Amino acid sequence: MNTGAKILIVDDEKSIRRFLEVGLEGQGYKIFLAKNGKEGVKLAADNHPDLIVLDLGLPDISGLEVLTKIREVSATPVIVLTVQSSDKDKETLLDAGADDYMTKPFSMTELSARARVCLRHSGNLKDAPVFEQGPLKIDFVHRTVTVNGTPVKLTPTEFDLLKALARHSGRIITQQQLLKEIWGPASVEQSHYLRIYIGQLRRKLEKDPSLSGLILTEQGVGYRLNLP
Amino acid sequence: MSAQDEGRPDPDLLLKAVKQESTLERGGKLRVFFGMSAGVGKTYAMLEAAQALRKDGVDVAVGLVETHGRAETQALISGLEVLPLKNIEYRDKTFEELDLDAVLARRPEVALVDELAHTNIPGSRHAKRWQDVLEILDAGIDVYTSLNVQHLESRKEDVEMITGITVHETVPDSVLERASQIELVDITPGDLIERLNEGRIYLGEQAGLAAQNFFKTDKLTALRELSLRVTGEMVSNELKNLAALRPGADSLGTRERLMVAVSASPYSAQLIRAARRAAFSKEADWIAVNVDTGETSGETDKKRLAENLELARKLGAEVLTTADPDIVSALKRMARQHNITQIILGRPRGSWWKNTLQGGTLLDKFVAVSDIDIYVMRVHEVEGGRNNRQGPKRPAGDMFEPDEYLRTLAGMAGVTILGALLTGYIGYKSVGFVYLLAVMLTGLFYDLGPVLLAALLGAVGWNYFFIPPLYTFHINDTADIIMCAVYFVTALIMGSLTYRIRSRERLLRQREDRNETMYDIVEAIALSLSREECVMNLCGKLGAVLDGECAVLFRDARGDLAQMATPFKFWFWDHKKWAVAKWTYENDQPAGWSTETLAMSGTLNLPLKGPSGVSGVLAFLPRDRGRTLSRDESNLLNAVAAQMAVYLERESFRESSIETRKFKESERLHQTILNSISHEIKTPLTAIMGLSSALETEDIGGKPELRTQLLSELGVEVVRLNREINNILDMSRLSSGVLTLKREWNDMREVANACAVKLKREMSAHSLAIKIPEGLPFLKLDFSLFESALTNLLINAVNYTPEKSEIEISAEVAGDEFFLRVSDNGPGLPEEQLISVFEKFYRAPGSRVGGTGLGLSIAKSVVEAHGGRIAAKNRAGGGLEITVTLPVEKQPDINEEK
Repeated sequence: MNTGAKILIVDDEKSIRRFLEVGLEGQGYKIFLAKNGKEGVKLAADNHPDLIVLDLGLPDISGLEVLTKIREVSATPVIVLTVQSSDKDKETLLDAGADDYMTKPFSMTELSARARVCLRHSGNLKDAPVFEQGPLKIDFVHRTVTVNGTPVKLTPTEFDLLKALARHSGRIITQQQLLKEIWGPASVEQSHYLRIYIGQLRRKLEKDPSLSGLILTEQGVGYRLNLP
Repeated sequence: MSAQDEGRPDPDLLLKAVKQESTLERGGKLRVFFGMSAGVGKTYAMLEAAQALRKDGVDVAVGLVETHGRAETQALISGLEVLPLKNIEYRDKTFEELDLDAVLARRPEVALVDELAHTNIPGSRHAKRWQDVLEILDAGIDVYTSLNVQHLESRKEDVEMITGITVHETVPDSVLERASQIELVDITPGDLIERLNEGRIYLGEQAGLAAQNFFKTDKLTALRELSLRVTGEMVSNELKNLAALRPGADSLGTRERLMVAVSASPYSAQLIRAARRAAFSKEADWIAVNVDTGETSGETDKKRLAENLELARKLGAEVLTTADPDIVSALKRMARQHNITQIILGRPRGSWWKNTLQGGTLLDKFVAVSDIDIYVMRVHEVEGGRNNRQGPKRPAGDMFEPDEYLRTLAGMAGVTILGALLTGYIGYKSVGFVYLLAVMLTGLFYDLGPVLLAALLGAVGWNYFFIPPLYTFHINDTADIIMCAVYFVTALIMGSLTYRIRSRERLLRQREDRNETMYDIVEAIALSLSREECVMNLCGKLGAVLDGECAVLFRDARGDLAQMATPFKFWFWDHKKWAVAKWTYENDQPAGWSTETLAMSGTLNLPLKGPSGVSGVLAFLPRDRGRTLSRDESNLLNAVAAQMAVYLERESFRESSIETRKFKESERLHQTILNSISHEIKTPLTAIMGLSSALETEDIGGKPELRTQLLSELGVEVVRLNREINNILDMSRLSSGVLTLKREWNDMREVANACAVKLKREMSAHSLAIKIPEGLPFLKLDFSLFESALTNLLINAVNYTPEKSEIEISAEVAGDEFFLRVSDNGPGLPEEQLISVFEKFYRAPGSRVGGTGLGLSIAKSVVEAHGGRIAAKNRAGGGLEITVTLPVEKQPDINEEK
């Protein structure tokens, strides 16, 4: 299945490293373990992992710092693990280049789903002219959307919103990112735009039972397109 | 009075003695070597005493001693530690002054500081050396110093009378009173003159005839007498103080209280000194009163008044100011209010006609007040006395205005033309009334000068143009002469009356303005939400009123003065300005511009002193450094500083009481959490432990269906444990009071749906219906917190209803309120529990399910943090309904797509 993909796990808790190692190895990934930030940065540089799972609370340097250091040299997807942190902290993480976050405690199933999405995205999906996943098909060139082959009529803004979500499919995209991308940098405070258009998109797309729960609200942070 | 009472000391005296003693205990002790003139050997005596101390092993250091090159004095210094002097550059010359900081840093037990009356070079910290000495004493260091009788503030005039030499350098009597020991260094005038002839007396740089003239036997004898008398008075006072401490001491009976009126008059200073002498010899308290009639004038007068008040303050008077256009009634009122027994007045000097015009002199008017003794003091002619006094009857703010005279002239010319037009109809006699009207109008708008001018012009004009024979100043008819004279007097009286009414009104208005400023300030304090906001407001207002900038430096957490001013002022980056503020903070005294301490600084610094110490410094930077601070401005600044200090103190009390309350609350919470954790958290943990150990056993782990079932139960327990922990964390965040909401426009449908998705597993045994119609207004919500509130409402419904119950979320808007309802068709609650369910750790009696009982309380806290409310009731058809009411705010602009 996921043969060959390399995952670096940076966490100072032995039990968590152990459970991630066992869980992910069982799915065929190759695992590297680091127990502090410095070691994490070094292993990331030496081994070129395909995905990094990074704990935020490390004993030597903060996870945010590790993230910044990694981002200086590579675009490897990073999933950050946090304990009870505020929405603001989560936004900061995502802005600093994290691809996704998970709040402890979490289950192995959740983590491996996120890991799959991140690994898939590291392939060059961004420039593909057509997005097709499950019943949903989006043609970026002709700006059309079909669900199970039935065309759905979207307004230009709704289409742009869906497009932004699809480009990040499976991963979280923050409110700020969405507002900036679709309404421009001056509108980052206008969260109600999102409420309106996300509402409209949901009404148009989620009425098809195969797409129920398509757009997930990540509390206080952003949205995630959730395709089977 | 019983025999017991008679032996009891006067409580006032006792208090005073105790106060003085405690001051002495706190600060260093002052020992003054006192003499009648230069050359009596004060410095010598002081050094001898220092040497004696040194032999006894006392740590003595010389701060500054003037030997004037005398070998015998010089010899006495040897063996004593001499601290370096401070070089101060002034006008391209270097001067040596006492290095105050060096003395404070060295901290000897006793410091020698010669010549207490010395005036420091500008650029020193204090204007006068005696201020340096006070600071040293305050630091707990004993000081030995020397002083001549001519430098004593209250004896200045006497000495000037005796010697004919003007004394410039004076020391307030209060400094001498602080001395714990006064040592009179006395030699006979004959011996002193002998010393002078031997050239053993240093006469200062301007030694010459004047000084030679000074050392005459008769003058020296008078000075000697004066110095003996001063020493005697001090000693007898000391005895009285001591006597007061002993039971059986004589009671002085009722205390005397003296009052002296202070004005801008150059004679005032003499009266103040006289009052001080009288008060001292009678052991009486005294007050100096200034009556603000609204009729003061130019800078010179203002300055002199400030000097006079300062003099009174220095000499130990309680200085009071009252506003009243009538001096006599104001003084009478003050005398009554302050139980004054004696009033000190100067002998009237005004001219006879002026006094008569004003209805008698101040003295005449006071004679009518029978229950108060009146002392009339003779005053000496003062340089620039009578004539130098600027017109005392000119209203404040009005200088000589040539404009007003010109306009009066033009107006009267106009009236004359009008009169010429009317005279044909009304006759020349009635024209006089038109003139009269014009004079009154002048009084209504202009000063007394223009009024007089108008009256004069009216008389002249009427006579010249209208009273026959025309165009002459001659009047034929006797009746006309009388009429013209009567007109003139009437015009004068009416004009000055209207003018007086107007100035009274102006005074009232000024007072009102002042009150308004104070009111503004009090309001600013009352309305401010935070300390910073309050200070910003006050400084803004004060800066505008005083024409400058204001800022406050607070005391920081460590008890030091903060580096950063509020509001931020760039000028505080100047280290010198900050150092002046720091001095004020540490010494609890005003410093800087317009004070006598560090006067070279551009800012005026006032300590914000409350009952429990100095909480900061109020600094004022005038736009124009050259001007002087008026009395009004100074009063205002002091009043604001006092208000601000009280406010800051109250604020810090309030903060600490909130702290205490939070602490108590958190302690209670802590205790309850502990109790709750021991029971509620351990329940899922027990289940987890049991389930996982069951899975380890062969006979269960081997059966696939059983294993899957147990694993799923394990998952449920883990999620439940996690939720309990999150609730505890949420609750502690909410009750800490530091939580800030991240409020954004949100759609309640979205919140409800997100909850439903999350709780799919927990609610699998119940049915959930979300009935929120589309198109309801957006709400400003913190999504995460609100989601947790709603989740808790739903979990609560699940926990307290049997399986298969129906749970419904519905919403509607009525007026400007949004109603969100979570209802179920379970058993509901007994009426008496409908309110207590929202309390922390409340759990319905007999509830069968786990939970810390925090859920509903969290929901309540969250809803209230959003400005809403929450209530529970039983539904008519059975089941519980919880209603959340939230305010609907003005909706955002919606960028609707075409």
